[in-house]
Amino acid sequence: MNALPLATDYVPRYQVWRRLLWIAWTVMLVLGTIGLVQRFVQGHLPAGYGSYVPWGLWIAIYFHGVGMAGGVFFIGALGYLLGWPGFQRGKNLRLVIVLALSAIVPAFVAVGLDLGHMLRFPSIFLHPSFTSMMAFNAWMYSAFVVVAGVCWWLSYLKDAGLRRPLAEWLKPLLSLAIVFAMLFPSQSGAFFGVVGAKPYWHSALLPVLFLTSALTSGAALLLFARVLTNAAGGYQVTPQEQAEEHWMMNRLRIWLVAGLITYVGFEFAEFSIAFWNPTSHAPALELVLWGPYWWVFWGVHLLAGVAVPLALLGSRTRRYWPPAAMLVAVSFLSARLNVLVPGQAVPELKGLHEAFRHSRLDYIYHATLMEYFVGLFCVALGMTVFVLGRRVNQAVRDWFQVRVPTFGHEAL
Amino acid sequence: MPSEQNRDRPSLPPDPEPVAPPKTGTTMTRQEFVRTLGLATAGVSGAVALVAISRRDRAPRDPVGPDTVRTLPEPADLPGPGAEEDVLLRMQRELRQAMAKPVEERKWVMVIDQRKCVGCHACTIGCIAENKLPPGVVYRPVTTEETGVFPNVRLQFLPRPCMQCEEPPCVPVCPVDATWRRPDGITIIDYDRCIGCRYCLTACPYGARTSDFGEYYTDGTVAGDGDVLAADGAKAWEHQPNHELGKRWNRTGHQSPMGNARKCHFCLHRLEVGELPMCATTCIGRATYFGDANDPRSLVSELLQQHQTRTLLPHLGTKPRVFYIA
Amino acid sequence: MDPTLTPRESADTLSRRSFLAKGALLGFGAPLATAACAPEMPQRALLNSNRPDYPYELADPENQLLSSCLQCNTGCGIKVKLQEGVAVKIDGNPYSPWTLLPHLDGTVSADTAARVDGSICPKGQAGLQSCYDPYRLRQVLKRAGKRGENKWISVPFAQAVQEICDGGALFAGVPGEEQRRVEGLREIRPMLPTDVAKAMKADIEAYWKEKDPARKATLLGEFRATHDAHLDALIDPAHPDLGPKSNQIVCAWGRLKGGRSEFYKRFATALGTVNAHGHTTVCQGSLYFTCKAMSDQWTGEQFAGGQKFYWQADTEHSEFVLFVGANLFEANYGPPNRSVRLTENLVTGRTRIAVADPRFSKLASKAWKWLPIRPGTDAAAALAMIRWILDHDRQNRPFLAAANKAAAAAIGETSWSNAAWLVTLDPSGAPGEFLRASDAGLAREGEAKAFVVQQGAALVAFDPNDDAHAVVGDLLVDRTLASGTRIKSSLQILLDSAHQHTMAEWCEMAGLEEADVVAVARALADAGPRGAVDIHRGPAQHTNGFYNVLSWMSLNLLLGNFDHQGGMIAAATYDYAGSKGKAFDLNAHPGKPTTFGVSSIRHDLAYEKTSLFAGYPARRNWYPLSSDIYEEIIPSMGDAYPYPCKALFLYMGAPTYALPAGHTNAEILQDTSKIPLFVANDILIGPTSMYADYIFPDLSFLERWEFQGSHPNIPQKVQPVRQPVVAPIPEEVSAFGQVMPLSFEAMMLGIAEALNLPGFGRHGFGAGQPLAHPDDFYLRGVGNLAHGEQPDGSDAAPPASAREIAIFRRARRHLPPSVFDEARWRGVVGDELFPRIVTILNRGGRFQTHADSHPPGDLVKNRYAKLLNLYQEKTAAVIHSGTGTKHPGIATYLPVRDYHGHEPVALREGYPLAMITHRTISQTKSRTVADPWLSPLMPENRVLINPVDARQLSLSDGQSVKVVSATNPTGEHHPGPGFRVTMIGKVQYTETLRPGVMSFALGFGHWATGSHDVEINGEVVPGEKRRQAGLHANAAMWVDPTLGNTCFLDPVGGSVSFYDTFVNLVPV
Ligand SMILES: Nc1nc2c(c(=O)[nH]1)N[C@H]1C(S)=C(S)[C@@H](COP(=O)(O)OP(=O)(O)OC[C@H]3O[C@@H](n4cnc5c(=O)[nH]c(N)nc54)[C@H](O)[C@@H]3O)O[C@H]1N2
Ligand SMILES: Nc1nc2c(c(=O)[nH]1)N[C@H]1C(S)=C(S)[C@@H](COP(=O)(O)OP(=O)(O)OC[C@H]3O[C@@H](n4cnc5c(=O)[nH]c(N)nc54)[C@H](O)[C@@H]3O)O[C@H]1N2
Ligand code: SF4
Ligand code: SF4
Ligand code: SF4
Ligand code: SF4
Ligand code: SF4
Ligand SMILES: [Mo]
Repeated sequence: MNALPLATDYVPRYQVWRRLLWIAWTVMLVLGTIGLVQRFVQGHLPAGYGSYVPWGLWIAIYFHGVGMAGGVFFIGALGYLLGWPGFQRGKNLRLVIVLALSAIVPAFVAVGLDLGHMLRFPSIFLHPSFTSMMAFNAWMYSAFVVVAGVCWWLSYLKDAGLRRPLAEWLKPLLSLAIVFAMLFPSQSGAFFGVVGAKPYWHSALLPVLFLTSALTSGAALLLFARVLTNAAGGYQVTPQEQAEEHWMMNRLRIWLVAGLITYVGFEFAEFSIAFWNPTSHAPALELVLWGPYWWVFWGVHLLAGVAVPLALLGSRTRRYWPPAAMLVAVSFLSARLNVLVPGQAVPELKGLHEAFRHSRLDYIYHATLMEYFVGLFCVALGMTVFVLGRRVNQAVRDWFQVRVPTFGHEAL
Repeated sequence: MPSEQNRDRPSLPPDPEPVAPPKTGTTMTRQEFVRTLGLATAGVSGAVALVAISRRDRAPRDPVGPDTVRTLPEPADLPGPGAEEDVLLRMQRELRQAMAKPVEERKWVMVIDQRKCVGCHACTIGCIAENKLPPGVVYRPVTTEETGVFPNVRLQFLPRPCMQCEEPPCVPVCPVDATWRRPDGITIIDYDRCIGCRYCLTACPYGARTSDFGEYYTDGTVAGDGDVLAADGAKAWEHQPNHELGKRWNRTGHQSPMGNARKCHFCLHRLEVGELPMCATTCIGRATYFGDANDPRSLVSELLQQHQTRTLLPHLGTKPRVFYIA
Repeated sequence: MDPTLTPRESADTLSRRSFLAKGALLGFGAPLATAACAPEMPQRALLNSNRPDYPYELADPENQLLSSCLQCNTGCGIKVKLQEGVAVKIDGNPYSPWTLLPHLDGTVSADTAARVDGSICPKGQAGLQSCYDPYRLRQVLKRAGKRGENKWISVPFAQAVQEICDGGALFAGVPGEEQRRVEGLREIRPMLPTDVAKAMKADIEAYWKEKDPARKATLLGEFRATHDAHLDALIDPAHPDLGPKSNQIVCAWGRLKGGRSEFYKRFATALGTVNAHGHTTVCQGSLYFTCKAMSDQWTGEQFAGGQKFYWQADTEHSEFVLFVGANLFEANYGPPNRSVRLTENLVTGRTRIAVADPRFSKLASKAWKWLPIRPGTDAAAALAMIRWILDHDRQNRPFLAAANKAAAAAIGETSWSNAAWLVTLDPSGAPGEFLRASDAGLAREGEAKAFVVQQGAALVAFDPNDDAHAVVGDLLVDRTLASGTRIKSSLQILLDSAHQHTMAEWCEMAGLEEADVVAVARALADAGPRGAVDIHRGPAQHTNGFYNVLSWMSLNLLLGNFDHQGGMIAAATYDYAGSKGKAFDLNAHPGKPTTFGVSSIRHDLAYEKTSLFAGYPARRNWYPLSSDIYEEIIPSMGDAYPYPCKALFLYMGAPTYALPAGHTNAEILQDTSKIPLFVANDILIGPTSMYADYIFPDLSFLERWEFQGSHPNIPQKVQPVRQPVVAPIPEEVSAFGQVMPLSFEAMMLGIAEALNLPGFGRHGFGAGQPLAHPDDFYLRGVGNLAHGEQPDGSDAAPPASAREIAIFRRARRHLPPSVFDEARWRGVVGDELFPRIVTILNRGGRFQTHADSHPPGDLVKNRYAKLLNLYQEKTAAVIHSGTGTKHPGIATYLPVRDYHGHEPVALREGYPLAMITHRTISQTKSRTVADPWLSPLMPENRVLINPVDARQLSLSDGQSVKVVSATNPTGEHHPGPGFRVTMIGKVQYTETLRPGVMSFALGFGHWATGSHDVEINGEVVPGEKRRQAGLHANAAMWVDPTLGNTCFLDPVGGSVSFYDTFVNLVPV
């Protein structure tokens, strides 16, 4: 069977996708740069977050990014370890690592830009306090990046059959990284969970929700990335590999569907707890469901992020899957925002925002243009990291190929 | 779209399931497994250890003991105990006595009598002026609550400084240890360490921490060195350094505390010279009492004994040291 | 180097900016003087970090100056703290009874006081921002566009002075004014020789006194004949009683305090005008003028000498207080001093309060009872209480029975009333004059025993001022004398007035529950002299304000609480103006011109007496019982009644903003034919100075001198001194060869020099006694305070110690020599007084101790101790110039009326809501919007209404609406050419307002004061948008249709009406 029709099964018009993505990248980079310049020149003044809603879009991007990175890595690395078709090759693993990196780097940038004193970021490493989930998070992510990087290198060694004793650390390290990857999202849940001040965050289900959304959006991102990379030329291989690809895609699709359903299920559980047992966390929910940003929940999250993808993924028509995956990967940001913002938007003390009026002392948060622009920059940055990462992968592969003739085509 | 599906169907590949998963590389050797276990154990226990270590009560980083004793002589020309005097003077005298003890023996509390609070916001502005707080930063707002229906209306005012919680949820969340509770119970922030992540803002249930985003009150007014109008020449007050925590802070040029979380510190810099916190000083309703609860004869101790006081959001277990009489 | 400076201070002098050298001082007093033993504050005392410690220098006396706030008129004592010469923090002055209870004795050292801060309100703390407002003027501005167009150029001080004095085609560059020649002051005031002026004045007074019309005409003719040679110096030879042409100069002011007041009046007098008018009636005129009428004394010939003042409750000692239209916790005079004298008593139960206000104020939130009175019906509520008390015989009988001073003394009272005095009724039954002893055949005319009381069957004559022979009278008398004259006692007249309606009817009118009214009346009666009715603007600012105030004050008379601890007390101040025999005489005015004639606002004079009398109604109202009629100053110029004016000076006033229907004033000010020359003194371009031809920059209250005076709620005798605490913002100028900051004084001195006015310059106070620099004036005033009121100096302030003098000097190190120059200061007061004024200035004024103000017993130390008029014979003799009928002399209920006496029924139709207005703690009128700290407390005001009304009008919470009324159906006004302001605000639902009433807070919706762009020297100066927020609905307040260019007013007390308009709210 011809390879090409296979790729077009998923993205029949790859060139159009490609062009669109490049245009999007350019536009996002330009706008993102404007946002970035604004951020550096004017500091936080043009931002919409404040003191009563201290965290906004950027922090949502951060959690979304690290969540996706964890999800991608968890699925990809586990698949590699367990030898699942389409996951089991070194090159599959390396793609996963690059993908996780391209999700985590923008996440770091987003949170870095959010800091009041960005240049003091190293303090988290120099004087961490591990009672803080944030410090813990930062260390874990860094450890993860390091371990993942080592794994990346070891996987080359392993594929090249070099330095065997060293290469044998790959799997143990990978297992460790998987543990990390799984910890992140639940950690992130705990990040909010420890905040007793915000009843909406202070929920046992939150870590579970975070984990589910990480896995789901991770699966989505992986699916999307694999489709694109394959369409870009990864398919011209053996029928065996093609079959594996299809198996993998179908698996990701099933997990995606399962993830979406599970997420909505947990969400429903969470909501109903609040509604049947109205605690102080009901007001936040009301905000989510009927507040000024009702459309984020109903439109972006439920419709674009769940219903439409489910419908598309329900189809066996493969070319519906990538757009569905993209929708999930993007719109799950709204799920993050919907945990993040309403959790902060409900005052514990009545009338505080009227006691002393200031735009940053309000429980209403509107992300500003600058924040959106910087958000776009993060996406563009992620894409850049991905593309560059793949280039590096190729360059290293070429380097190995020169040196190690046995470094086979399969190992790409 | 049946027609499309029809078109697609022929191109569907054979069911992928039959392809057997490749055998190679799927299993871990025993050695790999042992290493995995080892690493995981090391990783997890390392993490647990880190957390456990940081949770442990650290030796106080603040000066304690005799060094912290402040001898603030009693002025001979004030009325003195027993004489008719403003409560401000009594509290100031008790403050001087408390300062004569080492810091760890002082237990600062605030008692706010809402029956006497007239909702004047003098404390709010007094604090802003004293600490030179920029727009959007406020340590002690006063909320107004209107209840009832005409003509049975009620207005209640609630001044809200930092509660100086005994279990401050704002402290453990700080990733860089920039905020901590002092031996006298006051939770402070070292603006030079704070990275401005605002985690503590989300963690404080009372909204008592606000961030300095870098605004100036004179933003938006006429600029220039003007001969005819005062213009910039009149803006010097906003660029004077403040005295928080006994240090010199000047925000100009994005210096700390700009970019940082900020909070009420019970005016430590005033306590140090024998003056009451600004909000207590300037309370025109004399609704704000301040003092050392370790001194059983202090006014605040008396009040705590005589009245059924309440704290805010007690269910959160933060154990505030600001008490309200309603 | 000064030997008294401590080593630490010297080090400081050497390196001002070396903060280590400033090593904090921990101790009070003594250790400061011996800094060597003061413990050094350990480094890292509080925060263990590398950042250097910063000792708290604001606690040091050398970085503090004590003065008096003027962010509102309360005048709290302030302690201004300076950091590197910049005011950064303002707290309460602990020596001032406003901010500490009890306040520190003057004997407490400056070092000790430096560490004690008193409490003040948020506006006071934000005061430094009013001073450091970027929109403050530094140079004189001259108008370069049409009036109100806000185009300006800056001109040198000397040029401005010269142009104002000499006139000419000053605005030839302004379109439409190319041909206009402005008369300069020189031309407006051809001065009469002193003897001629004196003679004219006497003749005119004789003319006014003459009652017989025929004789009057004759006198007029005689006048013209006698003064034929000088008639051209008069405004109108046909009406010589209008006075000289110099009366066409009007000197007006808004907020004017002691010292500046004498300075300005000296200036006006020197210019030769009688027209020096203030703003009292926009404030609470009828409160002042009712109390003035109540305090008129019998001189033996007439009732006269009433004080323009009022009483308030001594809440520190009250058992029960009914506060009426008094906004203690947000306004009044003022929150700091009054709150601290109330809150503790409220929680201990020592004092109980009730509040009568259509609005549930913050004060009401602490009250035992709230009476949500219907606006404008205060007299009804008061009369209901009067009726209940009299019907239940709960009045203070001994007090009311005492008819003279001796009788009061006999029962331990200091004051007495005319409650028992007998009044004659005219045939219609209307009360008229008191029964004279001579008419009753009990004494000869002119005898001191002028009046009569009834004792059982007998009539007894008495002298009200007799302190030897006590006379008491029956309280309720109503009988007809053998002569056929019907007489009643004053109290009987009051009872009759209260009996005009039943309790139920009164309560219905006032919109109150009878049970509540009775409960409050009973509580008052129970408290007796330790009870009080404390009233403020709410009842006063109505067309019936005079009688509302009189009604509530009559209630106080029934309690007999005057001069009682816990009752009604009056303010007491130390004299700074001096007189012959004191240290200095600030009123000494060599060559003082004699001024005379009808005032431009027709005050202090009855219409019928003048040559302008032409039947009723008069063109505009006449005010024999009141003065400072703010709403008449500019509108009278608009009508050229009683005569056209040529030049207007305005100091620190904003009638266009402050007055109800103030926009009417703006229209007149824009007309150069009505006001050919307009000079304003302001710190910025304000809502009224924006129409000026010249604006002279002033010093703000933190840069200048004043004697703030007191308020009736301060039981101590005091005199707070406002003194320069920050370096002046305006540029320096010179007059009389002296360098001084551009200021109100500089403006007057400059003009005085140019016109060679008497009473200014090198011999301003007399030979060798200069008035050439502001210091010459104010330091003399401080010198008087320091010298004390005894000629022998026995109550002089003690001289300051060397240490205090050193503090004094160092605390002024940031002030330029044009402001502080020790040699000059010493020169003015002399070396003997200098250390004594240091004592005064280091304390921010002179204040009696707390212990001295409340001696043992029931009475306060500083007393009124005079006759109180329950019935006012003088008032009852005054004819309403709009209706030709006599004013009542007793508390009574009058409906809201226009100048011609008609109820404005038609104006209410279609306008369902009664509009009132109130203050919020964070703003003062047109001034404090400059202070950005205050904005967050209330960035904009709202249209406050009860949800019941809102639903009726289908208005939702937060909806934007326009305020319209019958006299302003568009809800707009036009401050200048092409400049429109619409009164739009957001609706706020609140249960705190009585249904049917709408209110808005004062201090928002600005169109000047830095809120809008202006053009100066061809460049646009951008305004600060923040200052425009909210609405100011004064322009919706009714214009009196019978006058056309001013608001509704109280024809007796002069008050403007703030609370009688009905409005509608139109969604926009
Ligand atoms: N914050 C602040 N304080 C100030 C000032 C300021 O501008 N701002 N200005 C100072 C000056 S100049 C003054 S004169 C004082 C004024 O001090 P107050 O007179 O105490 O203050 P207002 O708020 O004008 O009070 C008027 C009150 O009368 C009520 N009222 C309205 N109509 C009626 C009525 O028909 N009957 C009765 N019984 N009550 C009525 C209003 O609801 C309001 O509560 O405040 C001084 N203090
Ligand atoms: N809606 C409403 N309106 C009211 C009232 C109300 O309760 N409600 N209350 C009324 C009362 S009680 C009063 S007393 C009046 C007061 O009204 P006004 O006496 O007219 O005075 P202010 O509003 O205090 O403003 C005076 C003006 O002086 C200028 N100015 C400010 N500071 C200085 C200074 O230091 N020196 C000089 N030379 N000029 C200065 C500014 O231009 C300012 O606009 O307002 C009345 N207006
Ligand atoms: S904002 Fe500053 S103090 Fe607060 S948690 Fe972050 S670093 Fe710590
Ligand atoms: S009130 Fe908030 S900021 Fe203050 S100690 Fe408690 S948690 Fe921390
Ligand atoms: S104690 Fe000091 S810092 Fe805290 S609210 Fe009061 S004035 Fe502000
Ligand atoms: S200063 Fe005192 S009376 Fe005023 S709002 Fe604050 S606590 Fe209440
Ligand atoms: S009440 Fe008035 S005078 Fe007193 S501090 Fe406040 S603004 Fe100043
Ligand atoms: Mo006033």
